[in-house]
Amino acid sequence: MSDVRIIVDHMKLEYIGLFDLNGLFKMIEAWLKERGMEKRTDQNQELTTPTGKFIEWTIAPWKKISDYNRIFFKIRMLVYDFKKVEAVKDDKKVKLGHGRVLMYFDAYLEHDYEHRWDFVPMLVFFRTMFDKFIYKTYTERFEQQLTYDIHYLYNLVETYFNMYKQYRPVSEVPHFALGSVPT
Amino acid sequence: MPGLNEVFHDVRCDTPVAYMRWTGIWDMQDLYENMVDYLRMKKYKFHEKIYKHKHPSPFGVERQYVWEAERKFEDYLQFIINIYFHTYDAHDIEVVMPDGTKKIYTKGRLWIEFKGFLVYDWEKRWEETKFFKSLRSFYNKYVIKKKMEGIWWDLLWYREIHKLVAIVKERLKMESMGYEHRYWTGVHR
Repeated sequence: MSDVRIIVDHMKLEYIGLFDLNGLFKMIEAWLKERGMEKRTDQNQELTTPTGKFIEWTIAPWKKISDYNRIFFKIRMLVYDFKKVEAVKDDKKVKLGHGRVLMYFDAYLEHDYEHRWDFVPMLVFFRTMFDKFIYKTYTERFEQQLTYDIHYLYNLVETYFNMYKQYRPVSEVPHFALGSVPT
Repeated sequence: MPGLNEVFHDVRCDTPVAYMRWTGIWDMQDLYENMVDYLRMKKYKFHEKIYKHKHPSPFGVERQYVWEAERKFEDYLQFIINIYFHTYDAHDIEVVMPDGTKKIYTKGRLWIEFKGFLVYDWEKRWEETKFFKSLRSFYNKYVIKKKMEGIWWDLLWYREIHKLVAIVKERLKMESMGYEHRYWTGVHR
């Protein structure tokens, strides 16, 4: 078995309000694609409930950073009570979603993903020695890069949600203001 | 841990599995036709290997479909896509379209799995003797290794399977619809 280490453990992001869910999916996937990460969808479910849609989306994209090390993320997104609503921004009406989003970010570093050093216990011992003492600086560098990347994505998602703070649902806009909104 | 035989003489390379679950209303006929049309357009031979219609419960019908699509991509390489389709509590309902026409759709739960694999030497030309097998292994590991790692697998996973996943998402009008990797393996394919 290869040696998998968890570097970022369950970083959580929560948001309630307006947002464009399809845009969020596209933004995350575009970011992963730009980083050259391979795509893997572990779960993609969408259930219609009486209070709105429940969506669960789990992806585990990965990237081989050398012939020995591989990084992978686990991003789990849960969306509760998701409904389509009309909102207003700068006197313009747009269709958005409203719901509660819960996101978890994990990041892992996998050593020896090709299983070349795990046939016999002696090889496993050598692998551990190399990882801990000889390749220590490389391992740490990969870990730092991985942490930076997952935090970057976290901030990106946070910024994306913040952008929707400026939108107001039509139900909250006073009727005299709505008159100027082009439908 | 993979056995020695697998490591040195492997002729199959699997993709991960893409899972999808849906509860709501969908047009089964439209979904089926779109999926099969896509596979046919991509020159796949489509086989419906299993079709199970289970005894209906008070909640609806349970159906299972196992599909396999195969395409001989080159003399040496074959693409195989496996689709597992399971519907729970499915029952027909009548829906009214925006233009006032009525249609029969299906309401229930849906579970779909997409996976695939590449088969090298699908004609089994290099399996007769141990020497031939070693030659094939050498060819795989040193001559076409880059293509195996960087081109063919990507073609199957991103161009063929993910396109199919995107079609299903689009037909079901899922929130996660979109196909970011559409140009991953080239623009003109």
